[in-house]
Amino acid sequence: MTVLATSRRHKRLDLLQRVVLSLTLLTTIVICVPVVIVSAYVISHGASAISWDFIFSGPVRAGRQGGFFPVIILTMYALLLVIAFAVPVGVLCAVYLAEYARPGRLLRLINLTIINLAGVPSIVYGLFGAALFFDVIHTKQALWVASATLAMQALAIIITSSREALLAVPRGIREGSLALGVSKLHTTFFIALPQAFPGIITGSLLAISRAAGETAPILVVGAIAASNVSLAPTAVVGERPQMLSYELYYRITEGLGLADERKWGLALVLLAIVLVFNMSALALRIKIQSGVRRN
Amino acid sequence: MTETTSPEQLAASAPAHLPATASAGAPYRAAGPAETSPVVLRLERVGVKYGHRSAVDNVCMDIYKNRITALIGPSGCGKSSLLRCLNRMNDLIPEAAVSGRIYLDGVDINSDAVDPVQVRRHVGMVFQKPNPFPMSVKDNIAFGPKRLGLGSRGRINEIVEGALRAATLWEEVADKLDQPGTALSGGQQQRLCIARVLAVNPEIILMDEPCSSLDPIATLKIEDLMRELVREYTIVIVTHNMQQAARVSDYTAFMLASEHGLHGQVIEYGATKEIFTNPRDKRTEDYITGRFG
Repeated sequence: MTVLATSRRHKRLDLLQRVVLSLTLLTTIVICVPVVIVSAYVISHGASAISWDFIFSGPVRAGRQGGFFPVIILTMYALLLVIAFAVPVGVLCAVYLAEYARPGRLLRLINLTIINLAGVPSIVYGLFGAALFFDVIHTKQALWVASATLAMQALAIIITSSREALLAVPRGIREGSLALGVSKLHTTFFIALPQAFPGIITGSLLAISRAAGETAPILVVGAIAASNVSLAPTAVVGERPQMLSYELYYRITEGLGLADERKWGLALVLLAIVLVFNMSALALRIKIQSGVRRN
Repeated sequence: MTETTSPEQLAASAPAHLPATASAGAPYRAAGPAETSPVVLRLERVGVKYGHRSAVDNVCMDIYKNRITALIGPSGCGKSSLLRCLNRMNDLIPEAAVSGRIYLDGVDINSDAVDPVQVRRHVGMVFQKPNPFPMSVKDNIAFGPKRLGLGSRGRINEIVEGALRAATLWEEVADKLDQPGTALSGGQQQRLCIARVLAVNPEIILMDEPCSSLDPIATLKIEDLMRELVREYTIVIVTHNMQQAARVSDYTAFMLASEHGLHGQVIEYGATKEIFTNPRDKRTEDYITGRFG
């Protein structure tokens, strides 16, 4: 038999390869299709509600007419606060864990705990946040409390992904910097962190997007806040707006006739806000990467 | 970390004289009576352990200023481990422990009073795989001087050009200064890494198999460059390539691990010509003539 003749074993392996390939392709399609369908459904049902007034004016007749500007602006405001709270703290924590902490059992335990924090049900964060900020710290700023609560939840993902990104920076370039007599601090902040930025941005984005849609913690914080304090700086956003996710929940469950298309319109706006954050993070990522390459 | 300690200041913080014990140890003094260059690095009973594994054992050597010293030997004999002692790079490996003493201009670099960052400032290193930073050619060179606060922007531009010229890279990259360093060819990248070290003006340059990933022409360029650089700097090179050691080095140390890659030791150390033409130890001869194993 010549070397090139195909044996039966080869044919079997070839078949197996095709089957596995088809399976991986199939699962990818199964995952992608619902995303497309849901997006298409939200857009087709909600697009007709979207207008200048829907986004840029206040509610009329309890939201049956007019728009949801206060809700939208509050949501953006809250998400920016979440970023401001969670990203710096999360990245600094990741720097410590990846660069400075002494490897060992304790570090492994801490890492595992942080990963598990991502799995804690969001309503637990809500209760914890409300208890901490209203009962212990006695603040009356519900917006800050809600944002800080969402930030706590976002931290786990930000820390874990930033840590992974830092650990993935090749040892060679760190050693290259250290071998010049550059300190560890400068090597971390001027070599390792810029290299890890794309990973850090992706992780932070994931966490912030999730925070945007989170309802349970807002529900808890909002419910407790509503009983004794006002929910937002009224000067900016008018009276009693909620975050979008909560507004949507409330509108769906209240049962008072808000036209369906207005609910879908709200869902579409929420989707668009997440998309806007995604796009800006992507733009930032591309800018930084080209900067890293060129500068 | 803008202020850098000069070797003189380093020396002032510890007894400046070299201990007499080692200089009497004739076997480790490589130089014949003709050598006029001073000893810049003195190794006394240096050992490296990774956990319980002993990689380098009891190495005593004098390394001379403005000379190229080559460490040769088979894989796993501890050459790189020994080299990484000389600028305290082994500090970065948590389980590594270095014993013995290493004097740089008379100062024990492992003493508590000495900051490893300062040691690396004086003893630069070029690695096996070219490791340019993910920045432009210019920023690759400017990174060190900037972080060490070696001068204003204008001064740093001068340093960049000077370092690239010294590394014989200027002609090739003068019009590519803003392009990423990683886009250069392998040999150019390695010379970029050498230029990066030159930009912070160390006394000693350690090279860990700097040509192992390069083609023969790029290798020859680096070797020519080393002969140029040794007028100003002291170079210690680890190499797998015996011809390279014979071509470029003034002194050669042959290392060998006793068994199972443990206890790497210097078997013979002397002038390169002596080692290659008239080795005193049978094991050196076997290795040099390719009868090793």
